[in-house]
Amino acid sequence: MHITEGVASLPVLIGGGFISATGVAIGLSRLTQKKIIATALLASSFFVTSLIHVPVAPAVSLHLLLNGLVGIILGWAAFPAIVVALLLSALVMQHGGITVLGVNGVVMGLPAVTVYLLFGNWLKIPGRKRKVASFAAGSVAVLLTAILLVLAMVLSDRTFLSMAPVILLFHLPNMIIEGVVTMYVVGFMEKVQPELLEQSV
Amino acid sequence: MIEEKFALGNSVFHKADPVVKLVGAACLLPFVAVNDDLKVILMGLFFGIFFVLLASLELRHVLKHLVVVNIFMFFLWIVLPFSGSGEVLYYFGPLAVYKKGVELPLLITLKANGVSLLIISLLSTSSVQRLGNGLRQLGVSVQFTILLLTTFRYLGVIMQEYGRLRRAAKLRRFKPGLSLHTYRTYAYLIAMTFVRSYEQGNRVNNAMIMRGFSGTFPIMDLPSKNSDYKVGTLLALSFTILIAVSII
Repeated sequence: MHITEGVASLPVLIGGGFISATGVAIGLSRLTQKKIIATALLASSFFVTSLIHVPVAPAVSLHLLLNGLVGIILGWAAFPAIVVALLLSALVMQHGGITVLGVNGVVMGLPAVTVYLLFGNWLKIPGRKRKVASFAAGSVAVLLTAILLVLAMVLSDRTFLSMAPVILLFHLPNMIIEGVVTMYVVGFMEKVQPELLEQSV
Repeated sequence: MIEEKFALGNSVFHKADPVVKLVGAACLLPFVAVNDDLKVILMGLFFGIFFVLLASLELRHVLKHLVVVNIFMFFLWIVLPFSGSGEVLYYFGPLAVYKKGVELPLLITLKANGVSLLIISLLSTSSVQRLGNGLRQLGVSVQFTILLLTTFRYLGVIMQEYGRLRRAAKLRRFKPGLSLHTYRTYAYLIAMTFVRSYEQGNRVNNAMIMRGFSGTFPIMDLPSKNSDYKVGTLLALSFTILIAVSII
């Protein structure tokens, strides 16, 4: 989830920009030349797969965020990958925005790196620990994204406080589904391409 | 391949150097986006419309893009006017419509549309490759630019790849429903997309190294043309007008 142009106030814009720039810089510094092209292709995958709509209720479907998954695959490199995907999303599809790129980068990228730092160790252990870690990574990333989204809006204007419960509630089913999906994705990768689970920087 | 509909054209915006447009956008976009002065926002919207017309862009495509932006606005409009406190504008049945709850979505709607039109006319009128080159000229890191350009280059390829997988699932009678089977199937589709793109990424990297890729690419410095001066002057003038309007 991301905000569109005009929602963020100047302090939020600047703060978001600063944090995103730092996150991108850290991610890029840890990316070797050998990995940058593969990271770009994975960022492309993230863009494409985040457009997928999954049913959550009769006649209701929502699209997956997948920032948790990208976080555990890429590690710190998820930050620049997500910012690039957000920039292209804004340019090509008008999803999100360019002035709010920094803020959206924090809203989507910070949870990705956070779940990598929280659950990265357990992910390396095959079996139940990996399953639990991947479910947790997927769902916690969505929770953090929802919280940061509400924070960005409320810090910009207190009037947005009335939308906070709606936004948080809306993300609840998303949390469970993304946890389940991330768990299955990691399970698949474990069998088909385990090298992919060791790419994080 | 991702269709860059707005990048094809002969207008002065299409011909101008992306660096000029990037600098102009960097000044205009944030100024309009964070402003709460209605005069400035309306002026920004006017400039957005004016530039889109000047760039001779196909209006139905522009409107299609604006629909996307306004879907989010719709959600703001159904919640915000009925929430909050303070001065009440009028009563809609048992619900109170608050002044602050109307002002905020109104300003955001105008801003979002204005900024989106400016983005379409200034940034979308150059291809992403040219924009990437422009970003390099402005000092953006080569790593970020390579990430940006390569991600964009392979968007179409990965979309087709996912499309193939999705069709294969459909041919095997996969119908999305509310079941674990659905989520597992989507998970496997996503996983396979990531796996294939990772493998392709390594192949592309090896192919590039064999062709001399050393982690950087040369910056293309285009000679200045008339359109650069025209667009530069127009953007400088617009920015000056916006500042003047904000002071009045």
